[in-house]
Amino acid sequence: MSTNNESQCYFVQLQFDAYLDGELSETQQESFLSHVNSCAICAREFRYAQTIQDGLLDLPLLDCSEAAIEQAQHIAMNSQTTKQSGGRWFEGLLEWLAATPPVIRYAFPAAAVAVIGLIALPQLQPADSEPPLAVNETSFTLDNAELPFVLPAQYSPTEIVEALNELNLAIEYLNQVSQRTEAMVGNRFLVRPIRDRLNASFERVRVSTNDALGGDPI
Amino acid sequence: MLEQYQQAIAQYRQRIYSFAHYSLRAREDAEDITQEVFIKLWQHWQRIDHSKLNAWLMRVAHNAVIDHVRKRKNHVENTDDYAEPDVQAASDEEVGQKLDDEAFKAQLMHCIHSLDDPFRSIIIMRDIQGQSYADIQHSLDMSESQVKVYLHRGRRKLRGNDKLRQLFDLKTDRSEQARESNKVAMKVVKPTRDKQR
Repeated sequence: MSTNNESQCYFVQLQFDAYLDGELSETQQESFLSHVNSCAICAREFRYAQTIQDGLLDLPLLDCSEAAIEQAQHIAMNSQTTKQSGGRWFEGLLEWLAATPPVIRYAFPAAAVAVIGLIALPQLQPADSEPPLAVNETSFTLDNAELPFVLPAQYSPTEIVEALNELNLAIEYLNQVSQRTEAMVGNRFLVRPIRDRLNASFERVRVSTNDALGGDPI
Repeated sequence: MLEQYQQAIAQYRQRIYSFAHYSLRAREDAEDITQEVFIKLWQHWQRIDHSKLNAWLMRVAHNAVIDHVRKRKNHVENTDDYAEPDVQAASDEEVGQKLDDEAFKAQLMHCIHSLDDPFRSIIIMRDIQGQSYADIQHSLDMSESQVKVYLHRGRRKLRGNDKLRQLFDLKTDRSEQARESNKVAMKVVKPTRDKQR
């Protein structure tokens, strides 16, 4: 019984705000008031809620001092004069954009970006399209090959041919080293372990020839 | 334009100043915020939707208050003096008899100030200023149901304040005692009145 009362009190107390805001229907109001009038705890709680609500309603609307308002107006007017001198065309543009239909509103900035992009694109091209930074540029034609780049003038053609030969030798040597290393590593880490394991398993099969599998390693 | 601007100031100055004042409980800060709002109003005059001017102003004021609270968080609170003695009196048993409506109001203001946002802003806008749910939802950029939920929770937070409850209990007990003593006084006074007649 007491639990029933407690739950009723709980629900009634949840309705305080709705009652104070006038959001309850007539029937809800009646049952609300009948409970509040019969329950001392809820009646006190309701009085407390009502006192707070009345206190909030009684708090006055305060007013700002005249001096502060005048100062704000003064600052606002000054900001107007600075804006008129500098940012009027920009504001005009914004206003015009705001007044135009959405298609133009979005097409205009897109076109502006495209134009700026076209102007700026040649400036942003990669540096490799430019000629190399040689002081005296001379192109050489060698015996068997034509170089696809410009060589600086401080080296003679024979020196360059020698250097290329040495470079080819070096590349060849590195290729050989690489192949040898590959074979060695493969042999040690791939071929040899697999071979050893296979041998071991064959050996095991050979040792146990009397088993039920009849020497079949599988 | 200037005339319209001045009309807007005249129409909304109380609302904005009150909002800032009840949020911050400091006259100078509230004045600063009011100034800031009206300067921004002038600067954005051309771009504002004037059919939603109230919502725009309240949103600017709300943002300014939040910024101000953030800045002031690390500083010692500088609130107006008039609310403090009553709040202190509330904790003193000897001066309990002096508690009255003003003390209750002062404590109420203190509680509002202590609430977190958006509870505080919604209680000020709805319960003190009487703004509609539609205006509040536009000002704070939330749905009507959210506004109602925050309002309900904010009121419950206010009711849950111990000092406010204590003040209410004292006030209620005192008024009941006064009613009782009045009844006794009436009984005593009655014969003398008869004598005078």
